[in-house]
Amino acid sequence: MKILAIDDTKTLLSLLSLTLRNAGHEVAEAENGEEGLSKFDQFKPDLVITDLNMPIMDGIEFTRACRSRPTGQNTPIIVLTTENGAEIKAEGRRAGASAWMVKPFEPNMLLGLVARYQN
Amino acid sequence: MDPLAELKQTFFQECDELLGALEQKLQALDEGSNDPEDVNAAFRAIHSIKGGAGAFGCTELVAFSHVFEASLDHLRSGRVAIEDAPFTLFLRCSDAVADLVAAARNDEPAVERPDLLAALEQVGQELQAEPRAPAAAPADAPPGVAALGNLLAMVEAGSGAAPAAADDGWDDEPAGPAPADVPAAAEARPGRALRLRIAPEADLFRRVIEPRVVLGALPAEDIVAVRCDLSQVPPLESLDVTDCWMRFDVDLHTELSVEELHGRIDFSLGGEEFEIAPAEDEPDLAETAAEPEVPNSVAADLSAILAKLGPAPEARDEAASQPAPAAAAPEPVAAAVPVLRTPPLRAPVNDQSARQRQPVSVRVDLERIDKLMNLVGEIVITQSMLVECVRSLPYDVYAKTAEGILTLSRQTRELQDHVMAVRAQPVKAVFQRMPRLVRELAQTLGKEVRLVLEGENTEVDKTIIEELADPLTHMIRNSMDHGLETPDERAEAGKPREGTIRLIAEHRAGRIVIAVTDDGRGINREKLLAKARSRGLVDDDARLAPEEIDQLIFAAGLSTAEQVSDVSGRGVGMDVVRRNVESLGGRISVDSEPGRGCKFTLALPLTLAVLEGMVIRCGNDRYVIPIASVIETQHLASTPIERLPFGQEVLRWRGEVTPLYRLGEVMGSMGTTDENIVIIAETERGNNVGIAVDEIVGQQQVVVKSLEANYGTVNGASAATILGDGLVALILDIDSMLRLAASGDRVPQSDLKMAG
Amino acid sequence: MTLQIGEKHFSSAQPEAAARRIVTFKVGDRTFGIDVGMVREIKGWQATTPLPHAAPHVRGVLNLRGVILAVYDLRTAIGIGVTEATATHVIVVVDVEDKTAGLLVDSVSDIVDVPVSAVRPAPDLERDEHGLIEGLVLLDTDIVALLDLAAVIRDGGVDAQTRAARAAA
Repeated sequence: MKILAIDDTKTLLSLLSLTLRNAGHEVAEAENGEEGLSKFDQFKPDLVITDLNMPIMDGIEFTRACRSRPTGQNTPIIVLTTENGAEIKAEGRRAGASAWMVKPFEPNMLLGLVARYQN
Repeated sequence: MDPLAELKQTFFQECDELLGALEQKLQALDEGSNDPEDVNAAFRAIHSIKGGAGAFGCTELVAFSHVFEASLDHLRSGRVAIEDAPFTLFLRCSDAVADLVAAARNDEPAVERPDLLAALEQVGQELQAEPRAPAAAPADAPPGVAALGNLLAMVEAGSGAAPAAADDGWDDEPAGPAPADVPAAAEARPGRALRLRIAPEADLFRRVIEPRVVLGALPAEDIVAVRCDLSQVPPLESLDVTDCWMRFDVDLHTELSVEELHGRIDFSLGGEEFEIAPAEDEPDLAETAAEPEVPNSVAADLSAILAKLGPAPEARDEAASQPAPAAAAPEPVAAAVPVLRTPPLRAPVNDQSARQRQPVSVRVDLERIDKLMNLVGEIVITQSMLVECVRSLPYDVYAKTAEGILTLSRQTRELQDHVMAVRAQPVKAVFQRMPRLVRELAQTLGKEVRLVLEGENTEVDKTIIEELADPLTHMIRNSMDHGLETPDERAEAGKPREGTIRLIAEHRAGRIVIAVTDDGRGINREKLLAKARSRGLVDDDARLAPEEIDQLIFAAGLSTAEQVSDVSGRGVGMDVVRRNVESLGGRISVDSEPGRGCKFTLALPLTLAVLEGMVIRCGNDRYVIPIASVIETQHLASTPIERLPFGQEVLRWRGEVTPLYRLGEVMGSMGTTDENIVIIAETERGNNVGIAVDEIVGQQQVVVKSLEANYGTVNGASAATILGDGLVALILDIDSMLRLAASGDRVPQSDLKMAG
Repeated sequence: MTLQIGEKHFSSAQPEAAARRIVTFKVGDRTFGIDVGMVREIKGWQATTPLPHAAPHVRGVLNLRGVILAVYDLRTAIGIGVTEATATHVIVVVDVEDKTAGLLVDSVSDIVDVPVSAVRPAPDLERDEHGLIEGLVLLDTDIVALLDLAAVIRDGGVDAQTRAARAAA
């Protein structure tokens, strides 16, 4: 699957793509929402995994922007967050996020979630 | 190294940067910046540290950062006013995080800081009393708003084991990964009947949530039946197919608890979008079993169908192609219009400014830059080789080629400068360690100190950055210990109780100059001079100018620190600092004004990777003397050589008796020497020596190459370089050379000749 | 089937059957060898820059694509004089511990596979005071002395200087 991973913490980003690549996915990386959007247009991912808290353009804005473009309406967006609150989830939902995952993620759990979007 | 370990290292490096940012922002806030962006940046920093720490299983770090982050979040959300926030506490916490990072990095046990944690919790406690309780407080979380399976709790608990669940502690219930093998047949299995009702909001499809993905989160074996309730679906003519009106009832027979199920579903659905309840009564189950219910295997099929209905545009096509009433056809299209319309991208004003603040940058491995640097070094060598080749060409060819070579030289030099600039780092990397030092020292010494940093963005090569920390630490220690008075003493002297130390970096004349200034009592010249006399460093009858006395602070074996002081008296005096600085080709000096303060000035070259050198020849061998050491050169013929009683050759230079050393003899040069030139050079102690050589070949920038990497230390030389013809030349270290000359351990030259 | 098991059994019981691949080279009429894995490259002689007061067998340093490494004269190391280096002489560039070094020899002869069992310990030779020889391999035509490279190099560098200092004292 083609997956776009967005996180401003480079280490986590690398860990994310390492996990995904090891599972056989094709991964593009971006360090913030803005870069994420342009990668989204180039890479045309099947799935997006994005961090919430990022400089320049955060995950919520990214999700909103993504949903507002024709090509972004059908792509599942998984939001990674360390905040485990209902508020942030509601905000993510209003923006159009498809799923949440709490950071730090456990690789198997992430892959399990990703696998559900396969096919 | 395996990729994970490598990533972990990168993470720690990143932590250093994040910690720097965290501390800097907190410092700014402490000083009253009141800028919400500073709060955000601090929050982001600790947030990122926590995120990474969790990924790498640094439990203590996660636990501490988590609490710290929560406190900062109160500021971010405005629940605590910035003005009221305890930044001193936060700064101490950022120190604690730094310690935890260091512990994790070195695999050492972490020092627990219950005191700080308690103080941080306090920030939250005060809030709890306020009408609007933080949503994160588990006790207040209404059932049904429980969050996604709390992995963090798992990490904090140090294992995947479920923490003892509080009665209503949904938040703490971890969502375990799906069990690998669940025994088959539902009726034969233990467990109980539960009913999951999914009533998604209408925008489900627009969120790209496919019902099958949601149902996929449940163990397939546990699903007894799935029913789709279409009763809410509006009449086709008013149906917007991008809306979801379906409701699902899932009958389950499962061993999972309600909470566990909850954790599995709420990764995607909002708390109010689903409900889990015990199946009303067993007969219900029997009933569903009796009627033509949807068997296990059908669940997937149903999901597949739902999936097709799922995402909007496909759904639209589907709907259009279906034998639907004609009137319905235009409807979905019309409905789809608002969705397809692309509203302008949100780009609020603060985003713009954020973009300006954040310069575009790439992260490059230092190793790669070093390789690039090496390559540029090679080009410099090749280029000087070309210059030598060209010299032997006939004049007409030479003239043309020389022009090109000249351009090449300029471009090479420029290339080198640019690569050096890439390696350059702001001194901030070192400066930002100092506030902590000052805070801790202030506490130990009972002094009140304000540290002012200036010119943190001044850039120097990384080779110098690495060498700055030690001298700066010593200079600051010295200022805080000896320079600054206690608050009471200061008050008595009519000074503010709080002393000020300024750390200022700037570029000056191709060097980096760092000044450490304090407004303390200045150097106690009487005491210093007395001590120097008692140690025999200064003759009793010598008359020294005040400035000369001040410089005694750098004299070997002389520290004004009463050695008992545990701050500066760690056996490392300013003399060691001076020696280290000078070995890097730098200088350190002090200016003191009694009663007003003291200023240490450190000047270092911008890099250790290249140096400006004078290439000289002695016999068959060539050497490089750093230009920084050279004072003057002159013909030996014009300088009479005299001998001291024990045979040491000397010359008179500017009226001073200056020892003369023959380089070929000291270094054991090959071939016959014919000394024509004397180079007057300066030693670390500031003495002058004459070095007799055969010839000055030229002056050029040379790339410094290590001898230690593949060999070992070479007496008389600090390093080596590669000259234009590809041969290696030693870079002379005047002091080391003099030590070599002084020690009688030179192998007789004849032996060496044989060895060559 | 049985045979296979037998073979398997045989080979696992005889791990010494493994071979060492050795590069052999000549200094005068003597043959030396080192494991091929230690050899980084083999290059023609190039002039070195002498180091002050180094051990006699340290020929000096040279520039190998921007890296500076020391060259050791094997002839001097074994105490049979100094190599009069010419263009036909060879520097074997080796990796020893964490360092790269050059070994000045007359010529490189061959690469041979030697069963580990064929390596015998070096006889206790009085002359090999620095323990340069790690073992001997008997080939049909030659006796190959396997070099303990670390020992060859250990006598250069800093140690040489302290040694020289001691000698002079």
